[in-house]
Formats: sequence, structure tokens, C-alpha cells
Amino acid sequence: MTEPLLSVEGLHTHFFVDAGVVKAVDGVGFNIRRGEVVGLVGESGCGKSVTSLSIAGLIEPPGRIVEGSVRFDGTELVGASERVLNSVRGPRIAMIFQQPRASLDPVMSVGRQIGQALKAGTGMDRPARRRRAVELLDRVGISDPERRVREYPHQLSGGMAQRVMIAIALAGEPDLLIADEPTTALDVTVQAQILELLRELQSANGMAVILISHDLGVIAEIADRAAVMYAGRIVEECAVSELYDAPLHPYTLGLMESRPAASQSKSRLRVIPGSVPVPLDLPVGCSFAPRCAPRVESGLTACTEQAPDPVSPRDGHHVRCWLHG
Amino acid sequence: MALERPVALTEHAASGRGPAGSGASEHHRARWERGSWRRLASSPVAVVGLVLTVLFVLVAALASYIAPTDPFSFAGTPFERPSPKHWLGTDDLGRDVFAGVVHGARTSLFVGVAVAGASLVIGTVVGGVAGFAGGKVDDLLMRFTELSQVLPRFFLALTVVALFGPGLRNMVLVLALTSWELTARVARSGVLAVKELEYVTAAEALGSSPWRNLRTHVLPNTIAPVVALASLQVGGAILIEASLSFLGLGDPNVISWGYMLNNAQSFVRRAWWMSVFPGLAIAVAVLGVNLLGDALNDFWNPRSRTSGAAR
Repeated sequence: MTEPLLSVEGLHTHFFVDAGVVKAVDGVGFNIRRGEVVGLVGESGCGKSVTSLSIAGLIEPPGRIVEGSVRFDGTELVGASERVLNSVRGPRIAMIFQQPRASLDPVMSVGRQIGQALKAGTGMDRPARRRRAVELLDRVGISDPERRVREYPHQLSGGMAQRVMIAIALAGEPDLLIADEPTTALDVTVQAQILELLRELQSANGMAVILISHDLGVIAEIADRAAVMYAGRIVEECAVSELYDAPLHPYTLGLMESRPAASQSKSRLRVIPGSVPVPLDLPVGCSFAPRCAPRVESGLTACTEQAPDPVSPRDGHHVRCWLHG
Repeated sequence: MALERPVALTEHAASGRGPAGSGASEHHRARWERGSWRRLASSPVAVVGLVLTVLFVLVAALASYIAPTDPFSFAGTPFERPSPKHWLGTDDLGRDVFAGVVHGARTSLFVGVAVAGASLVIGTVVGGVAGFAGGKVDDLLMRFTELSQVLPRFFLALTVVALFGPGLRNMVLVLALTSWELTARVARSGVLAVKELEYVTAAEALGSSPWRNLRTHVLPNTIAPVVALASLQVGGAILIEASLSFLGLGDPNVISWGYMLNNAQSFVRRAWWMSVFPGLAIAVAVLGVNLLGDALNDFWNPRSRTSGAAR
């Protein structure tokens, strides 16, 4: 197989706060090939966003990447200088965020903000950037781009603002787009449109996408592969279809069962008992063990003694669980 | 995408207009700006401040046309009462008081604007860098700022002028170097708030260097209160210049209201017009720029925004 576009290995990002060390990301590893869409799923606080910020080198004190490697197209990004990072961010790796309107500078017109991204990546002159900005707005499905290019963020709806963000991200024609909950702040119809747009742009440009979401539906919609995160680790990683049809990790199973389904509208939702462990005080062994019903049933003792290493019961399906080890 | 311009709609509602038709972006933007303008103009304080300030600036700019007489030349006999020939009378040497008041506006405006401008630049740079860099740089710059802040401004100016001789340049210099602290603090707090906002991270995630981030995203979003503050400093600087000149430490070669007042001291009972008119001029000019500064401060203060911002 060819070299992956992005290869994350043993990534540990910790936050050193007064109360102790928060191990927000604690040994994450995955690969992304060119043109592949990978979904990163998990509850709030499981480390999805910190993982993506670590990849882009945007972790700020008190946070620090303490260990691990992020190789992007042959370049090591962990510990790379600001100059190297700035040459990668934008033209090669672009990011979009959850709050599209908050991600746009309120005092700058849409056109100028796209222009900024173009200037960084291409060095086009002003009229060329202007034309390109209009093209990009048109590309992301904004009607009347000639007019919109002169508008300011407060004049845009949430969905439009996210389209503009996507246009800005596309300006540098990146190889990898990291979309951190891109549709969470939008209402469902707009959400569907944005996902559709992302998928279309992804296949047209052949760019790889890391889609971060807590919404399994969103992941199912667009991703090729999915990685489920829990308490700073990837607990299961496989093709999306397999994740839905044959999940292996008890946590994934719990997530699947706790989705509301149209067919069973009357019955109570199933939930995973307990709550996410406090990151300052992770349990010894598997961090999911205290909430894990199958563990109790099977009577495994390893779960509370040692953290499981990833195993691959099937080809391309990795899981961190003693039940399968 | 049915509702695309929530803010625009509230603006329309406020102005009693219907929503704009399509393809009207310039008009739309112009209307937005007119809306803000109307908000500013709806406050009487702002209007009075603006009118007085404009008057002040016009008089200063057109001094040679309004009063062609040289304020230092002997235009008549000493102590002439206000008359059609000498509107505001003459002083002890027969110099025209009206010419003095008109040309004095130039001096005051120059000092005020120069000091406020310098404090704006120094304060923004120091505060902006401190807030953006954080850590040791921040500590160092802010301790330095606090150190300069405790210097008594007026007495320092007094000392410098006494030591290095009176002159407009010395005065502007010393006032500028002692009036940027507050600007720096305001700029710093603004930068601290703005640099944490998502669009700054977003810009960084798209390859914007920290320096460019500060220039293009952080400072433009912090500058409004800083400018409002600077406009308030214009009045302060005018007052200090007048006070120093009143004490006889002004530039003897340049006419100024403080200088005229100093000169008028001995003749208060004999020629009231010598002191009243320059005094009035100071009061009106300072009142005007302060009212305008206050209005700008309110206008740009996000907390006083009721309808403008969508978020």
C-alpha cells in the first residue's frame, strides 16, 4: 500500500492545569489515505477536538503534545517550527470549526477573508484574488456570489457562514480538511446541505477529510471509515458499514443502542450507565470498564488491571477491548 | 437559506423600511452605515459634541482667513473694548483678542491631536504586543506601563519644560510620553479578549502567522474603544497645554489660549474681555471634544449596543 497522507502515532496531548494533568489525548493513532473520509466520533470531552488541534499544531499552554508523532505527507509536524506549520496549515491542511459565524472576522468582508487565505497560499494579486473569491463562493453554492463577496459575517445566516468557511478552507486547495463538528450549530436541513456539499467537494477535489462529530448519523452519511474515541483513546476503528452492522467494542455498541430510532418511538431510549470518567482521575485498566456491562457478565479481571492494546479480530477492524483480545 | 440577513432586517424594522430587493448590496451596505450614523446622531450629546468639534477644527483650519490679523501685531490702541473693529477688544499691547482666540485654536488643536495620536500609536503597540504575546513580554510591558502611569503627568511636564525650555515640541513630547498608559491597558484588554475568539484560531488554522493575525484580525477588532479613548485624551491634552501656558511655561512664540490668559491676569478688572474670551474658547473646545469622545465611547462600547450587533 502507498504511504498514508496523514499518519498519527501514539499521540499524547496533556493539559497541565493546577488540579493536575488532564490527559485529553492519551495514545491516539490512525492513518488517513489520500481522498479518504474518516469520521472521529465520541462524546463531549473524549478528545476529538484536541486530537484535531494537535494535528494542526494549535495546542496552546497549558496544553502540550508530550509524546507521539504526526506525519503529514512525509513531514513530521510534532515539534515543527511555526514556519513549517504555517506553510502546511492553509495550503495543505485546512480546518473548519463548529461555530461558523464565530470563525469569521466580524470587521472584514467575506471577500477579503477569502483573499487572506489565497494570499497566504498562492500570492495572487488583488483582482485575481477577488475573482477567485467569487468563484469559490459560487463553488460552495452561495447564490449571487458577486454580491455576497462584499458582505460582512453579520449579514450571513449560519449555513451561509459555514459555506463561506468552507470556501476559505478550499482556497488553498488543501490535501486534508479537518472539519470539527461542522454541522452541529446548524439546523437539520442546513446540516444535510452542508454535508452534501462537503461530500461533493471531497470527491471532486480528491481531498481527505477528518470529520469530527458526536453524531453517528453524520458520520454514516459521509465517512468511509470511523474511529470511536473514549477518554482520550481510539477504542474502535473500522469501515463505517462495519461499525453499524457489527460493532465490537461495548462502548460502540452502547452508542448504537442509545440512538433514537423511528421504529421504536414509544419505548424508552437505552443509555450507557454511568458517566465519562473525570479526565484527572482515569480508572486503572480500561477506562470504559466501570460502565461496561459485558465485562461484568464475562467476569474478566484484566479490564480493571491493565489497559487493553488494540487488536484486529477482522481485517481493517481494530478494537481496544479485552473481550476480543 | 430563507432568512439571510437578520441584522439587515432589524435595521429595516428600525427605520420603518421594507426589506431590500435583490441585487442591492451597495445600497444595503450604505443603509447599514446610515443606520449606525442615525444611531449616533440620535443622541443630543453626540450632536452637540460633533458641532462644537467641527466648529473648533474649522476655526483652527481657516484661522488665517477668519482673522487675517497677526495675533502678535499691534492692531489698535491698548485696552480697546469689544467693538465692530475689534470684535473681542484688544489687550494691553493693543493686540487683537479675536485674532488671538482664533489662532490659538490652532495651537490647542495641534497639541491635542498630536498628543492623542502619539498616545494612540504608542499605547496600541505596547498594549497590543503585551496582550498578544502574553507571558513574560506581557508582564514586562505592563509593569513598565504601570511605572509610567504613576508619574504625575502635570508636574513632569512642568519639570521638563522648566529644564529644557518652553516650546511646543517639548510639551507635545512630554505629554505624549505620559499619556499612553491608559490606551495601552485598554488595547491590551481588548486584545486579550479578541485573541481567544474562534476566528483568530480559525485564521491561524488556515496558515495565518501570529504577527499577521495580530495586524489583520485582532487589532481591527480592538481598535474602536482605543480610538474613543484617544478622542477623550484630546481634551485632556488641550487643558494641560493651557495650564502650562497659563503658568508662563508655554511657547512664547506661538499664540495660545493659556498664554493669553496668563497675560490677562494682571488686567482682569480693567479689561475683562482679555480673560473671558480665551477662557470661553478653552471651555467650549474641551467640552466639544469630550462630548464627542463620550458619544464615540458609548457608540463603540459593545455593552451599549442594543440593536446593531446580531450576536
